Amino acid sequence: MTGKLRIVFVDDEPHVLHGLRRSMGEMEDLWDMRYCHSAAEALALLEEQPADVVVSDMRMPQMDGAQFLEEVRHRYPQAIRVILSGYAETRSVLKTVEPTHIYLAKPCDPELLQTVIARPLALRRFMTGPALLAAVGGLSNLPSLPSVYHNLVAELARADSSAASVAKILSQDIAMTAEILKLTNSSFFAVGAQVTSALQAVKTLGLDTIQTLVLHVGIFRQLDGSPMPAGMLADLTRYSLETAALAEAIIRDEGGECAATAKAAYCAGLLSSIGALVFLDQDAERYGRCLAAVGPGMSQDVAETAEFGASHGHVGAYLLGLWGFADAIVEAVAFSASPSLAPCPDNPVLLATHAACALGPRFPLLPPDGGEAERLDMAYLIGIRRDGRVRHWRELAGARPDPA
Amino acid sequence: MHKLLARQLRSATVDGTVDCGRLYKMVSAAYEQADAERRLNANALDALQLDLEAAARRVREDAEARFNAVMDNVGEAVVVIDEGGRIESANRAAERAFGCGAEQLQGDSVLSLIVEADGEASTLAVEECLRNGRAGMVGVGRQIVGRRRSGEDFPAELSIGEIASGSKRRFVAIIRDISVRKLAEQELRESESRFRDLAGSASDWFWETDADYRLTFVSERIANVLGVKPAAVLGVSFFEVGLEDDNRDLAVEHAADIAARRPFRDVVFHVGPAVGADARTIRISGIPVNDQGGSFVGYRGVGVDITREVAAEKRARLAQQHLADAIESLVDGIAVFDAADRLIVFNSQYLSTFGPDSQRIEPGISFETVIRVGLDAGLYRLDGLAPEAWFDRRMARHRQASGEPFVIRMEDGRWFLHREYRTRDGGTVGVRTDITEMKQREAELDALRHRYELILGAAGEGIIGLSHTGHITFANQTAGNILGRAPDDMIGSCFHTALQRYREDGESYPLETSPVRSAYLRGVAEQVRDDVFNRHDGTCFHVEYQVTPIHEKGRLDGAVLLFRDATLRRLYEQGLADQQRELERLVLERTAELRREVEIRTRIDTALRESRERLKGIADSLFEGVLVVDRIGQLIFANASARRLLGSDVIEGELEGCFLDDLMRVRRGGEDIGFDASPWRQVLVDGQVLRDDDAVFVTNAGAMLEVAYACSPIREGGALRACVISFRDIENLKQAQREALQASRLASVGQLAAGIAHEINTPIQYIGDNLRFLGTSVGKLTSAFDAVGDAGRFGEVSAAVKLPYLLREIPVAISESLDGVAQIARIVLSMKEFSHPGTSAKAATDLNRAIESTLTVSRNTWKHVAVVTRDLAPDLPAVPCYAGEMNQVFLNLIVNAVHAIEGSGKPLPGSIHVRTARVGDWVEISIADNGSGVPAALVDRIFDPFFTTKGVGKGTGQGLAICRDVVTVKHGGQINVGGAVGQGAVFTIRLPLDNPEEPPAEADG
Repeated sequence: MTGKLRIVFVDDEPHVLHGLRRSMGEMEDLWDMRYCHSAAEALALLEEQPADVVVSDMRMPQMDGAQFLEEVRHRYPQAIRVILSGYAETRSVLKTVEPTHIYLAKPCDPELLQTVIARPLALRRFMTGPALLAAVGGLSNLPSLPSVYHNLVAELARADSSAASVAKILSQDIAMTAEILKLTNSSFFAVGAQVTSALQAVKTLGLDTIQTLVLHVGIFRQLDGSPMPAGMLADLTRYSLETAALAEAIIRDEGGECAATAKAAYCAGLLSSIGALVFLDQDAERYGRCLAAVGPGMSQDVAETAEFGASHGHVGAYLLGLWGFADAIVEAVAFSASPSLAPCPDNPVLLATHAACALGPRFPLLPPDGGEAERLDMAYLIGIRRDGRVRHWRELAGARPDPA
Repeated sequence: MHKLLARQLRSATVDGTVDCGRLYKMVSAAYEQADAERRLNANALDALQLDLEAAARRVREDAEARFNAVMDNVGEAVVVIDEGGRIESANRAAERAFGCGAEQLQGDSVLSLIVEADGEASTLAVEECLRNGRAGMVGVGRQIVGRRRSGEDFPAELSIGEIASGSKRRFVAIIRDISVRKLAEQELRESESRFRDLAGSASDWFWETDADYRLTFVSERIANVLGVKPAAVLGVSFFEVGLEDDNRDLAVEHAADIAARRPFRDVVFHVGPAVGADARTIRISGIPVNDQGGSFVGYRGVGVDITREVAAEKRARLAQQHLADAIESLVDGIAVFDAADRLIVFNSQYLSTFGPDSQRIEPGISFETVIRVGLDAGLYRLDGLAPEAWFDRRMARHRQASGEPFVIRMEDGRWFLHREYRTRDGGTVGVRTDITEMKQREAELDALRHRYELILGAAGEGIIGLSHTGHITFANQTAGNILGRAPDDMIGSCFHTALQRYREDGESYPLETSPVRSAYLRGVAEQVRDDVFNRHDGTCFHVEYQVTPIHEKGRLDGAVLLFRDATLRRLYEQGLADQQRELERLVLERTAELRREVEIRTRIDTALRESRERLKGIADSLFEGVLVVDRIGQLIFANASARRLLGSDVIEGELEGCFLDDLMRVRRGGEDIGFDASPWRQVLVDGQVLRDDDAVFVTNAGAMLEVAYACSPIREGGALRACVISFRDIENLKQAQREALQASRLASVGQLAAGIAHEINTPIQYIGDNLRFLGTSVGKLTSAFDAVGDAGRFGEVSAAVKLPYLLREIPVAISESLDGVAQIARIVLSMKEFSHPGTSAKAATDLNRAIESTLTVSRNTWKHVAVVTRDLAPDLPAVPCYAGEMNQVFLNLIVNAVHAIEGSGKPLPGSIHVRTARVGDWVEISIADNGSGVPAALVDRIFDPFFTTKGVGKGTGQGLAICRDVVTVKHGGQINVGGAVGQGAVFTIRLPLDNPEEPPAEADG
């Protein structure tokens, strides 16, 4: 092992591979890059040595990109899977939704490609266990609340369904919101600015696409057969929605911020506990045991890291990073518990998310009598000169109905 | 009786009976001999006369010789003797006559030359003569017998004369050898005797006439013939004897012969009374006779009584006539051939078998000829034999003439039974009997028998024949089937044992109670409705049957039993009774219904009248135009819409009665068609409903009206009297169709766009990568250049920037980028060509290029599915067409091919073969795939709108319908599909090169 990150590019067009080799040349010092002309060749290569990232074309003879990445997901779940396709047909893009972390459209700026590859790799440093990497990487989707799912299907079947009505339902569910935003922000659908709200996403994708995704692709997974108790998911969802609302309220109250940032804050708030959803989905009982240990002497992050190898914030950030969410949101989710560790502290979304998490409703899965007393990172707030606002935020939080 | 005849009669008599044939032969021979002798005698008479004349001449010569004294020159022996009788000299003839020299004769007595054969009279006479000198012998020949020195005697004439010369008396003796004359005289005498014998015994008689043809001599036979003495007829001619009376024509002819003194032969005439024993027929022949001087002296000839011969001949002729009549009256054909196989006699029946060639059949022709005539005329059915073989067989039978009958078939279908017999004289008699009718009867009988057997066999009822003892003599197949036994097995068994042994309850069935038996005994036919028979396996079943006794020559000779299984019938009867009750009930119900119906009908009639009025109102208010046209193209009815649509509402007055041609015509193929060639006329002829959803009417004002119409015949009393044309304006529909086509084009361009985007995005990807690489490379190169002056630093820099790699990679990057640019340019150009804007006129288009463009823009569709091979004719002429629309057609077919290959489940990639070629005045484009092919059942439907075999979302079902519309309607071409199921489909388009006919201009924007 050279210790270098290993990246495999697959494309049936040799010129494309040549071009990638040239444009990625400057990364050679950091990355060990391999170029394959077919999926079969790539699988053979992976057999010899697994890769950290796989970048594949979509349309290829014999085995296409979706099939190939599905195979990779199955064999090497921890590998980050990227589609780089010039294909412009929605239907074929949707095929890639499940096995793919990141969808990039040709032509793709080499810098963007490098960034997209580099970011989840950077987030990996918080993920200490290979098992966790595999679990997160191998995810195709996350469980949704059955009630929400049924409402969505019913709404889509209605003749007078609208983007707003559909988006309203979608936004009631963490997994759905995450999934829909992931797709919307992929470079196939990307319209420029990052999309952070379900309504925007539905409008961007169109009801037809949502319909196809829900009814034919099966993008959303109901909480059926999962070991997770439905009540826990419902509690977590309610908590996330309240946190998101508080985060948005705080950032609006901070003023001077545009609507996009407010939406980003809401999004970050909503998705701040997506890592917890991953833990729940993986082993709800274990997660419960883990959280039972949280108390004055043991922070939630520490407990989670001890049990799973990473905190739910880091896991969520890694996932969102894989899914191409905006850096601001990824960072906010990653450091919502300890923003002072963030490399770029001057992030209003991070601020709002942290404040909402610390001042908002209590994390629902914690033991009723345990939990941390004080979760605010005062050093951080002082660092960005926002410590004076805490009182005001508490009022905002207090105005919210108490989830308990 | 003549003794010869007596002798002959004796010879011919064997055992007391006379063999007439032999007798006749002998008599005939005698006659012939007599004839020969008669001829000989006639010659002898002539010779005798000549000799006498010669002797007289010689006497005259002797006298002259004496006078000339050239004794040596005379033929007679001359000796000079003295008075003592001694020979003084002798001449040469004497030497010859007596066979010695003259000197030997000298001195001998003349008497030594003479033999006293007749009593010394000659010697005495000579001595007397010598002594007396009497002139008794002088000049007068005395017959003596001379003797030669050899001792041979010969008859001679001796004459002695005294020579008065001097004193001495000398005498000259002349001795003439008359042995020849004597012989002739002897023969003549014998001949005459014989002649007389013959003349007296022959049936012929001789006659002579004088120059006036009056009989001067008749032989005695005439008495037998005419019953008169010969003397009675002397002085009369044959004309008077009977010729004149008997046959005047012959008499005239004969008279001419006589007048011309021609010989005649076999003149036959009747003498005596016409009939009766004395009636005679005679035949005479004669030759003219001249005397020695050559003058005609009369006729001489023979006559013969041929009365009996004539009678015999008459009888023979009569007999033959009788025979012929007898043969003629026979129904059979008869032909008689003689020993030489010549046809002698035959009857007309025989002749009739030869048909038109019968005139070639005549007496005298050979049997072989007869058969050849038949063969040549093709009369005989040769039964597969070669004509020669048939002929040989026929000839063999004829030669055999065994009397065995044999059959000859004629080509005309007749049959002859033929027999040939040998006659005693070695001839053949053929008898042929026409047995055609018999043969036909035989055939009919066979057919009849066969038919009856079939009928009996096929009869639905069991039929059993019974002998008078009650045994089965016949059973048909149905009987066997019903009884469960082979029909032949039943024959001979007793009826009762076989059929009625048991009753239904298992008890035995007494013969005495069987209706079959009682019917038979009574001798009358009887129908039995219900009885029980046994099957072969002993089971019982109900039967109904009819027993019919058979009377043969007045007595009962058996019976025929017709039976059928009555089990079903009994069931049916039961059911029938139930049905009958049901029926009665229904009738009652129906009667009530009918009453109601009558009421309803009355109401309907009223409604109908009202409805008729309403219909007219409706027709007038219909949006569709309705025209009713009769058989000659005259309008019977036109509604308001028809008037409006056809612009005839401006015309005043009634339309009814106008000719349709004066109102509008149908445009087809650029021509305006009048009623006579119109579809309406066709509907009126064949009575089929006609429909056309896309037609053009031309009004009499010249306006074109795009319509959809239906034309249906109206039948009145079974005849096609008129037709209804209903039509509607489809101008708006056509516009919508054009827009739909345009929309479908846009849709497919949209679908293509995604694929094209991929095609373009890919090169842009690597062009971008390469440009970025080049950009950074330029920076690196610049830094390397900057360090060129400093060798040490240059080494470091060039190692840092990987200068050799850059120098190697830059040209490749540029080259590949240029490839990408070219590819993009090609795609863009193809897109431009493919999306050729619709124009209102056709333009000469290079279809190869159009196909290439289509393949390029659709590459993304097929490149992972199929390998496309091209066989594009390099010299393909430009085709007048709407390029954009043809591109659409090609695209549709290529996309179809891709889908067919994907859907076939065969390993990818499949193959698509595109071919163009010129075929006469057409250009042919075929697009073949190796997909699943088109099932035969779908071939006719795949071009229909909305027909699709693809899954939901794969196609609209309009692709091929659009293709057909574009190719056939817009371009006057053809499109069809071939190939085989499982092997792939071949779509073939044919476009005309010369396409003068322009469809209506497209009104697309």
